[in-house]
Amino acid sequence: MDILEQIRPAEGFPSGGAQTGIYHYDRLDREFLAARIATFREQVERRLSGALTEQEFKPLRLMNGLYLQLHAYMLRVAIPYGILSSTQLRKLAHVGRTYDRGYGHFTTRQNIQFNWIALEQTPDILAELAEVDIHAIQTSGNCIRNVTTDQFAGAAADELIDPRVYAEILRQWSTDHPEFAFLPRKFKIALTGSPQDRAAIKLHDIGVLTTRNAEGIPGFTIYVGGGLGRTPVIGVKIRDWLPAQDLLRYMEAILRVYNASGRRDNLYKARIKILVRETGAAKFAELVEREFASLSGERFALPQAVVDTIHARFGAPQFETLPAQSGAFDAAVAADADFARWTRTNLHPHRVPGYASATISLKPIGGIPGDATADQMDLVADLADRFSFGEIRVAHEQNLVLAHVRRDDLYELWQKLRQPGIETPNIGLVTDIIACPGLDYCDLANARSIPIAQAISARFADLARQHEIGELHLNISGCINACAHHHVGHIGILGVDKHGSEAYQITLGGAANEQAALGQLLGAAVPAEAVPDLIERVVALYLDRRMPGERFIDCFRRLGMAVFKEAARG
Amino acid sequence: MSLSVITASRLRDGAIVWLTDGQTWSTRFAEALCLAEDAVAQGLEAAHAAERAQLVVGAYQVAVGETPSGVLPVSVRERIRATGPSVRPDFAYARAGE
Amino acid sequence: MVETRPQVIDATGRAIDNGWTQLADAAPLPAAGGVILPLARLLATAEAVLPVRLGVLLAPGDAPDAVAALLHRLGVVAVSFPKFRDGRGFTQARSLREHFGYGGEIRAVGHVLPDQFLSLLRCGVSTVELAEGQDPAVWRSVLALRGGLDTRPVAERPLPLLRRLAAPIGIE
Repeated sequence: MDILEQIRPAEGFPSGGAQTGIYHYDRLDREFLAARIATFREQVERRLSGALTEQEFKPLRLMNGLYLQLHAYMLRVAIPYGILSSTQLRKLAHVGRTYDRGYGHFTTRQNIQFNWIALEQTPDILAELAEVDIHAIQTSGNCIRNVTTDQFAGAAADELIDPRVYAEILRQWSTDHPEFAFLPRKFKIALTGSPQDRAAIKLHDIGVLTTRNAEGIPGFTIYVGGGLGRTPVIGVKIRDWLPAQDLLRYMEAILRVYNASGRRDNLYKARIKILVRETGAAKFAELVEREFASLSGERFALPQAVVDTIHARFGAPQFETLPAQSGAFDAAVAADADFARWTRTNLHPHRVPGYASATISLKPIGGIPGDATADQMDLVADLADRFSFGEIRVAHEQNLVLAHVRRDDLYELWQKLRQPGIETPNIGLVTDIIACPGLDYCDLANARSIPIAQAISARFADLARQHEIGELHLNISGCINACAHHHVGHIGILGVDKHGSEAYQITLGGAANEQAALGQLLGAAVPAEAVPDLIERVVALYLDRRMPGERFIDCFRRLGMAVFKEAARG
Repeated sequence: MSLSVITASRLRDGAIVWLTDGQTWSTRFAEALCLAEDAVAQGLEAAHAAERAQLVVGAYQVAVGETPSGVLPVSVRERIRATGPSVRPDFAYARAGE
Repeated sequence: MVETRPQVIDATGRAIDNGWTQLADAAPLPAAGGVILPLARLLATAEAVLPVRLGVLLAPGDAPDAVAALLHRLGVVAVSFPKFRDGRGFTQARSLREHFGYGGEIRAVGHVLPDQFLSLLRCGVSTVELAEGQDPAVWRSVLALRGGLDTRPVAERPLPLLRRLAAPIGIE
């Protein structure tokens, strides 16, 4: 039986030139997916009939991204390194509309979660997703999770290499890796293609930063043992510079040392950060180097031909030769103050003259951070086809990005985005809040996150004021697992359970970029209704004391915590 | 005297359900059977039987109390389960016409 | 004493003759046959000339390096799984094959699931000791569903990435 008979690629997918940016699967990739779905369908049947107990079934469903959450099953679908084609986004919209309640939630891991999924329909959903080459494998469990990268990959002006290519290489290497499916704990890898870290790499089990060596050759600087959660740790550097061709060999060495030696006696001490801490970073690096040296350089090498082949499978956008400046853009900025405001926050420089990357905010004032309705997903897919070669990126800040927009087209794009939910000119500002689902949806949460985000967003609704405040990252997690990275928000908020009621701890001074830092506690936890006032006082102090052009985080670093503690007391 | 109800997730679709009597489960919290302390063990026994029959998973007892809006679970978490996400009350099972 | 040996399957999921007895630390050596000894006991007895064939049981925390010098004398290396979620045995098996070039039988023992069969084989495991009541047919059915997966041990085939590149570029 040809297993591919069961799953056919969707009509017109992938359709050549219009679908650049995503990696094009081949027959083996599709066979693998089809086999996985057939296996899971059979496992679901065995569960429903009682042949499998819940205890036996749970790890099997988790391997396919299916959790049992507070209200229903939750399906976490992997978006490899956060890049989607318009066809794939339309399929996600379809899944949201047909099998869920008309929406999806984009996560800080560049994935999407559907919150109201039925177990009995899940094999059908996975089969639909497989039609467009997406899956939910390794979005849970103690394995290597979806590799994340910078949302401007392949487009950013400051990039040394295209991180999509290496992220895809890591995806292929880690997907169904026979040795590393039962690690001591989950394992997250982030990679960025420029020395500017936009992927929070020092907060991952492995962080890969692209840098040049003394000869000017781009390669990788490797960090290990970063992570948030119960024990937040900034990753430590274990390799200054690794030749790009040795990436897999080095990953294999790190994972092998971790799999053999990571702690398995205590769930809370099982992440690699604890192994690195207990072993000592220098000693750990030595163990990795020893394993690295014993792995065949030849067998694990990534020849340039392989890298080029992977690159080719992404397809290259046919950029036009354009002047760097766009008269139409400049005229629109001069004529339309609202547009001008959007361009100040929602654009990022592109490596090709005449183009820019545009971020579509999923943080409407008072809205639910990261949620998008099926209709919005369809609209963004259409806009991607019209303006950005049919590709969309998911930012770990829970926004969507059209990476390659002609500057001449930006005004038209912006006009089409002017509708509730996706129009907000607030990228990087105080209302661009990263929030986990919290106790409204999540089985692990101690407190709600979304209502706090909504209240703060409403308090700072005035756009002119937000722009006046400038760059300020505010992250809210509903429990210590820190899915919203509260430790590294300039302002971080952590929901806790205080004698049976929800309370919130506030930290200041965190940062997720190459100057990664953990926030410091502002004071005792406060009830939900006190949070917006407290944030208000912190921001007021900043506005009062900042020097010209000084960002919140820089002002905090200059003034120190004591001054802010004083202000917080009000 | 403290009162409890029994809850679980329905196996086939994950819906939150409440034990209404020894046999049946409802997605409406209002239909949950309130049990006195001495009746909880029997309720849980019925729930575990439903687990073995592949009807529900993860059954447990939830403390409830009298509030101005009627009987509701005591903890925030269980109130959210009973009444839907606080940010999307329209998604509560009882209101979604389940 | 009637000895009941656990059922063992080979890489195709078929039951095979289990020619090995697992011995605890203090149990007396039989007069003949094959025995699988815990690592410490093997190291203590390895110098002796024995009438039995030797194998070793590696606990999950044992480093394969410890038996490297003895591998040529071993008929089987058993890697053990105290629970299926403890994946150290996968790394041990790969180390044995790749670092030490061990070509003999590697047997998975303990708590392993049929759903792990492919990964075990790909890491170099060649036989699996089944728990009581496990049906070899279920293990074979996993193989039947493997799709395009290459079940040869990792050491004997290129990385998945390179294997995939053997396929024509583009979409069929």
